[in-house]
Amino acid sequence: MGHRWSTGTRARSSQSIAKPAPHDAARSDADLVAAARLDRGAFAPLYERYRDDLLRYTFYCLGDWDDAADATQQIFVNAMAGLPRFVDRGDAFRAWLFRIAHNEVVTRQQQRARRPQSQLIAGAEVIDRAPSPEALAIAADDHQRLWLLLERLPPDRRRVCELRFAGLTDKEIAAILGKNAGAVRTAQSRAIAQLRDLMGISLASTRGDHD
Amino acid sequence: MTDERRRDEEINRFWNELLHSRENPAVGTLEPDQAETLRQLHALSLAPPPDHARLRVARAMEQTLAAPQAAPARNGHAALYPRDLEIVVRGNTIARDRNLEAWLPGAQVASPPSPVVRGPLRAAILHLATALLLLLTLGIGILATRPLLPSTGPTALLPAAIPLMSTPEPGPALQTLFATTLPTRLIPAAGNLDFFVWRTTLDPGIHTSYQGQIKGFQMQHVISGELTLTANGPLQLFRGSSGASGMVSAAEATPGAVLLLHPGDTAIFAFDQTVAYANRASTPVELVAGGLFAGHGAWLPEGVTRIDHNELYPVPELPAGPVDLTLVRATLPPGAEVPAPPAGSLAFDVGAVEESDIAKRPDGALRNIGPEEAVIYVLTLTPRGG
Repeated sequence: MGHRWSTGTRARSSQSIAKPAPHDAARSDADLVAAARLDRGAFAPLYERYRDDLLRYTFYCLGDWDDAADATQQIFVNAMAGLPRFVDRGDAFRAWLFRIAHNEVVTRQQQRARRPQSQLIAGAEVIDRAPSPEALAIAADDHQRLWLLLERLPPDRRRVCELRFAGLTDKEIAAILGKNAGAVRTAQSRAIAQLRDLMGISLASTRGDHD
Repeated sequence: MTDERRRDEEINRFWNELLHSRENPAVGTLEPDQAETLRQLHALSLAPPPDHARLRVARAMEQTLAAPQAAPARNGHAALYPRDLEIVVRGNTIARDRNLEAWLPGAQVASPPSPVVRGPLRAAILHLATALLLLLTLGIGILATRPLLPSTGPTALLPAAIPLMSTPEPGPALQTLFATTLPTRLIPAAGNLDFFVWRTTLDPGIHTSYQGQIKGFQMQHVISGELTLTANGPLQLFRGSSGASGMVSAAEATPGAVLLLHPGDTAIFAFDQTVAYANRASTPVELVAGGLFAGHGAWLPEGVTRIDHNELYPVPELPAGPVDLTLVRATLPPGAEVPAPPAGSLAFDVGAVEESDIAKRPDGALRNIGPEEAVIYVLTLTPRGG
């Protein structure tokens, strides 16, 4: 199929990387998956379609862009290897891909938790405390600011929000996390209430500096 | 629909509409600052990832795919997914994915096609497999008849073989906290039934009451602390405080009686009576509440805090007749499971501290898919007529 791996719409032109054919954008996941089963080069449009969402998601989970990029690469490799086992029914590919992503970040978080310095970060005492205005002010970008807020949520609410901010719906999140949709909706409501309080303390006062 | 559930639905609708590229979804009954919070958060998430991260992914993918293609399969067709991918993928990741897929609702796992081998090689493989099978059968036969044979000294064969044959899964610790059979009169008639289980707390000094107007029953089980309860109707009280494995006695309390419930005690009563709750002690009362009621109604008494909850509405029709109720506390290491309840049962779990990473299979079995140990309470209703 001749696809190469693209760095995205803002990729440097000096890279010898071509974007997938324009008509791929209109093709359904099911079509692209069917093509990718026969030719791994045909996986490129799926990569292009989901790379940014996965990068955001892994960043919200891991808090570091290099780690997020490494995790994203591993997720794509795992997805390619698992594609022959995947049975497509409608829009199931996206949920399946993010299930792989969820597994990957959980594995990486477990590896981090075994490192002594990470245990201090994971302490329960940081939960419910607002990120300082200084921390938000020096955050390099919007994603970092969002990550600082998400870090203050309890784990169940945070996991739902990480997937939400990566663009998934409540039903997809329920399928990925193995919960019922009602539990997801409740968790996200609680999270929004908590984030509203956190933002009231800090984000509102710092947004203007960056806009 | 309860106010809380309506709010949950509104937030969900608004968020979904934001995701589907509607810049200004209708606020509806959402509070304006909730909508604004969602807009701001959504806007933050729309920024593209930095180029260096994209480039890092692209380079890693190119390196991965630059690995040599696998040799064509022996039947003359190219393999769909070459061996080089298997080298790159961490072994445990794929295995874990497969386990998880089998657990999650709507799991869709298909086996990859087996390679087709023909000709002399096929015959050789068949001969080899037959020989291995014979050896294995012979070995099992020797091990099985070993106790009947004269002892020839210790052997290392069996212990060495066991780990190869099975990988022990971490087991759950299950403790039945309470079990009873609910009489037919407490089970609401079919139609618009709501089944719920909540983890709640009542802080010291709180006095509150609830005047119910809906049909059904509720259960209050004390985990810790002392709960003072007064009901204006009959109430079944199960004293479990002295027994670690469940109730030790049951009594029908008279209306108006002031009851003191200790850890392990359970009260069951009809939803359509007035009940007063109080915590007169200096420590919080930790409770698991659950029940089944008909229709809608916000019934959480003021001052009661919810830690976690699970709810199903509408509940599938229950067969007429009494219902067995069981409350189990499960401590689940990562990967451990609570077995499926009997067919036709309703079962829900709540986290002891907060919502846990629990996956539910279509048959109702529960598995801890999180990285840490989870403690959950599982409430099960099993119709006797089912």
